[in-house]
Amino acid sequence: MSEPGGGTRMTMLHWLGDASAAAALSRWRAEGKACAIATVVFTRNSAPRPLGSKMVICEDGRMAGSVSGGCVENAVALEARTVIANDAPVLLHYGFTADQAFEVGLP
Amino acid sequence: MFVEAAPSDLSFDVDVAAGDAAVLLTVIEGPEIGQRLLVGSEPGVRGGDARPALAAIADRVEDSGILCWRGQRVFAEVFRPAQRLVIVGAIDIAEALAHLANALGWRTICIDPRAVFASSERVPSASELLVEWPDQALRALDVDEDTAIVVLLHDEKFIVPTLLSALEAPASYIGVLGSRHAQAAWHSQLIAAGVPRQELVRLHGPAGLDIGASTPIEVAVAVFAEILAVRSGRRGGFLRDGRGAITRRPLSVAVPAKEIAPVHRATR
Repeated sequence: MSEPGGGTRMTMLHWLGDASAAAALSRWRAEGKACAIATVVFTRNSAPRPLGSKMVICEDGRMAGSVSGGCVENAVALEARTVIANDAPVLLHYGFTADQAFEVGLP
Repeated sequence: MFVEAAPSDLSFDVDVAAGDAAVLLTVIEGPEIGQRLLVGSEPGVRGGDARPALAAIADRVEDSGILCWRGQRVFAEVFRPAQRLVIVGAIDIAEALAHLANALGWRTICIDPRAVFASSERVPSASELLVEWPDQALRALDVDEDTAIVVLLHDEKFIVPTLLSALEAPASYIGVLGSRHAQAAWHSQLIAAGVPRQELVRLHGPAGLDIGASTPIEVAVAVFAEILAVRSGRRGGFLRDGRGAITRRPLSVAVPAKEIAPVHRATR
């Protein structure tokens, strides 16, 4: 990954930013499963996960990584299965205020 | 939240030079939703499913955020090579620091001129061990803004040359373990060696946030907390006593939040 000169080759791991999520993705792909990636592209102050945080979702419902610290993962996973089925990306909007976090069910 | 089918590994195949960054642009809203471009350090357009016209905005990107492009919304992600922690002195705190650095995704280089100390048995978590004179090794490492230096070695033979060498480069942080009394003595020696007094504010010594750390791992937590605070321009302290944003604010070129038309979808 890193070279002596200090340069780096970008990989899927850099993009996912999470070694366990990257490992899960390659494992699920090896099983022949289709997968989706969810990325936090917009945050307000005190969002539970920073911009660029990612979650990998397998078509069978398994998940790795995190986009909210547990608040919206289930809702995102449901949408992800539609994305896989339609092969069309979507932009979703979730509230992250304390009240809204309870609406979607904190763990 | 942007949800897409997982792209292929080959879509992420560019080189990023030290001190540089790769930029990934993805159209997240608009007719070309899902189109993307990855720009690395090499000249020219790269990336598996590239959308070359996006290259025009890659230069405007300084940090991750949302940009407007041809009436569409583009999410820009900035990737920088792993940050480096250079530890001078292979004592017990060096291993604790290297262990924490690994958990944080940093690379660690540990320097000690004494071969019996700079061993992978003593510092197993270090990415690299250098048995060299610290001042020479630091010069050879090409220290940049993505590098933090922590000096653990107190030996009079090494400390002043090491600090002189550390101050030459633009390291984001230079921490120096040692008593307040010792720090003052080293400062005097550095001034005598010709270091301007205002340069000495770059030295964080005694290193670490004031958390009453005593064991090696506690000291490492205190020092790393200070490294992260300096990186974010924060002073440490209790969050409950502050009023500002809790998370680090990206220095973004992104459109202000109020200009982003929310795309409302039911959350259940």
